[in-house]
Amino acid sequence: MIRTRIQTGLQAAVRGAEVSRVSARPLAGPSTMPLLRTLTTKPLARAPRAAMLSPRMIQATRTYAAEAGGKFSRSKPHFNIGTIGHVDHGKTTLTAAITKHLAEQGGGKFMDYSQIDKAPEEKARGITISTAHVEYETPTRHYAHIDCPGHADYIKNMITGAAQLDGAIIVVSATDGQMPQTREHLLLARQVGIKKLVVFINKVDQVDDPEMLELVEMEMRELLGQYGFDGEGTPIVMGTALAALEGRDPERGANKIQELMDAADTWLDVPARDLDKPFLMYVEDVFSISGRGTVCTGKVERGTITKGAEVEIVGMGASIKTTLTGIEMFHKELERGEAGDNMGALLRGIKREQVRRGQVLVAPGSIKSVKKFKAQIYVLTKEEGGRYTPFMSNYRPQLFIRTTDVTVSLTFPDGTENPHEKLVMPGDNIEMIGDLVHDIALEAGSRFTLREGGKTIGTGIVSEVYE
Amino acid sequence: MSTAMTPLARGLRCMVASSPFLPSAGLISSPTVRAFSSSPFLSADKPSVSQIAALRKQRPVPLTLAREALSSSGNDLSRAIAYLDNNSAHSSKKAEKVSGRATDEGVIATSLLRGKRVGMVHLGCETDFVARNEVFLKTARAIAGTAAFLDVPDADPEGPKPGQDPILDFPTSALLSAPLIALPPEGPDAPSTPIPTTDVTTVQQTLLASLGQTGENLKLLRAISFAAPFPSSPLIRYVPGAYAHGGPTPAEGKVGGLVVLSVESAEAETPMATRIHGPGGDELEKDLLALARTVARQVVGFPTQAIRKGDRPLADEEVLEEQPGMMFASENKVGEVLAEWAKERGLKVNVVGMRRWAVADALDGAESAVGPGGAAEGAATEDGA
Repeated sequence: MIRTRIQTGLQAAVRGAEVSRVSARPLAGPSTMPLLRTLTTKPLARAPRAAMLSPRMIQATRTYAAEAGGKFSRSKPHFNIGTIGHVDHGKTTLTAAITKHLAEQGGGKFMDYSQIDKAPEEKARGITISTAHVEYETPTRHYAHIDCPGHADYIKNMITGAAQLDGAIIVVSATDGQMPQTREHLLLARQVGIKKLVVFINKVDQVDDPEMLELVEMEMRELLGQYGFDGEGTPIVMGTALAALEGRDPERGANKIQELMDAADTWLDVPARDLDKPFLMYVEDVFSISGRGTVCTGKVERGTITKGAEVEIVGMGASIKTTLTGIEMFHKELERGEAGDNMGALLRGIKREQVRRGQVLVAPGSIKSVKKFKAQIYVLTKEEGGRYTPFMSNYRPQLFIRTTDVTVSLTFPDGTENPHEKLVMPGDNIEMIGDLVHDIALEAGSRFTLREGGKTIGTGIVSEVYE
Repeated sequence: MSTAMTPLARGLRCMVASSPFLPSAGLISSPTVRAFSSSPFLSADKPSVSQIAALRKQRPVPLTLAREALSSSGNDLSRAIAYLDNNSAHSSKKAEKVSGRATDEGVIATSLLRGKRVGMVHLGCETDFVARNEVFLKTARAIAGTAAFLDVPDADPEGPKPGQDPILDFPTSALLSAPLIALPPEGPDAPSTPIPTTDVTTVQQTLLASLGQTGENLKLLRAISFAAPFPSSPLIRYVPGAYAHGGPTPAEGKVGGLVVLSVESAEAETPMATRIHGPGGDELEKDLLALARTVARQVVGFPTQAIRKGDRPLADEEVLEEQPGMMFASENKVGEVLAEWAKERGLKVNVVGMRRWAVADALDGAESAVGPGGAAEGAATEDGA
């Protein structure tokens, strides 16, 4: 059975590109629409890694992407990268230098300052988070470059799913070294779930003393370690983005940009695609078909499944293990189902009453049913269609996830100062503990929406599950 | 980590190596230039990397400045710290460079001293990374404390006249030139009078130092204060309250609120002074402070623009007395809740001053004062955390 799954997995990967579009990160719940209007949507891009095997396709991509307005090709894995750093340390210069350097190698289009730093009116808070207007390619990856003006904007985008950072380049000037707010930069990276970073130490031509550069690196490694990153292993590249942009001093300019992108290619891990994750289908409806047994229908959120595989029904009480004896789609029998499919699953030895809407059908052991969890929540403003009043600890809205909704009680995590008088206001993003009235399948990364009286008031992402 | 190379040789080498590439901005901090202008530098030993690292742990200044401080104080750590604290030339230069940049982020910091004096300041910065940083927050707290302690210089010592706004704008220029007051921690054992720090540092200098460290344009955008009249009137008490939301503590955040309540006794034979100094007076004072704080929370939590309905067309949620009394755990309107609360205790309680500031407020420079029943500058939209 294992063999068949691997085989089908490979087939799926080769079939690839178009299917993976369907499975691109689902947005939480039914009504995130008002949100999406104010934010830029995430580029639909998750190209299959296996497709890299075909050299012909890579060739095709280069010519495509090099042209402005060309067709977007999915032959390379996609990666959302961000630059984080102090305002004066050269984030924009570095971004411009990267696009220039890679455009010269045939990957993407050169964008100068004016194109990257858009007009001031566009920069006004709330509109600017342009996630995909800068893109470039290395021989192995396609990058979308994200630059948000501040912490709150990044967090909001992460929670709502508008823009997800997979990795980041921390930019530090050699003349200043790390600054007090570098700590906040690293905290942000942690909070949006970035596991690995690369560091670019900029403006090295303005520092004459190699020992000073060593000190910048040493301090940076120490700080990375303090904030839970791999201080020793993190690649730190020293160069000058301005030189690269102006096409001089290749040793500290263009070569260092190349080194930085090589480090990004090798050190930063592409997140797992939906197809590669363990199988999960959410149950929308359950039927009893005489002579065959119980069939539940729903959408496959991620992973693949073959007929005859073991599955587990999770949520709303004890989990039940059973075997998937049949897969059906469009009234036809199938051998396998995969992320994006709307399928019917025939379950062996299960009575109709044992499966309910709101449960999930998963690869055994891949998800737990819990009542208590920690989540990051963004509370919609009045303008976004949310509340105009604040709420306090023990607020009880409805939590909508997949095909179910359940009442949740929200409280502040232990250690919060004066939790009884703390407020949560529209526009806030905040970490809270949720207690559900009954258990449902949840895991870190599950997205949900919060509704009250028929109105969406917030959206959240689970960061930790308890019992 | 020290080096055998003499500073002179090093200076010459780096001149050769880097001068063709030095953009003009780099010249300011380049040690090559200083080697020409300050001769003591030439004779002093070059500060070691570990000394620079140690200095930066105590004062997170830019690397080049840390090195300068050490070389000009003979590589002595404590003298280098003193050099940094007393020498704001570098920071002033930086301040000049960044002065044109917008300060749309920042913090509203409040300070309530012994239940009598209260101040609130709005300190702006460029990014919310800095707005969340401890260096910046510490400065904001200190300035708020100073505003509360000093109060507006020309405030009427007799206390506010009836119908007059008790909360006064503290001119930022006056506050900037005031000495920074180091406040002792609040508590029963705390000494009664705060002592200015030994080396008198002005608010401006403190702000400059943080600017030098964070490299962002920091600006004291607005400040207000209120001090209960001393000695207090036997008939009327003024009780201030403050609250802020969206920061690490309830004293600072993205939205801040400040209120002043006037409290009178409902019965003429037991005036306020008798109540406060009579039996249960301490308890009453505590209750009043808690009430003022709850009112401040209410003001912050809702998009409050006015205390009571006036001429301006405002929605109910924007008028304090019309809002649902959420922070009082009541379904009733705030005005009713307050009246009920006062009646139970034989008092008359009025909200006579109110300000609600948000970092996201549009500031047009001219601040309109708020009378009782008047309107505070609007905070129609909140953004961010």
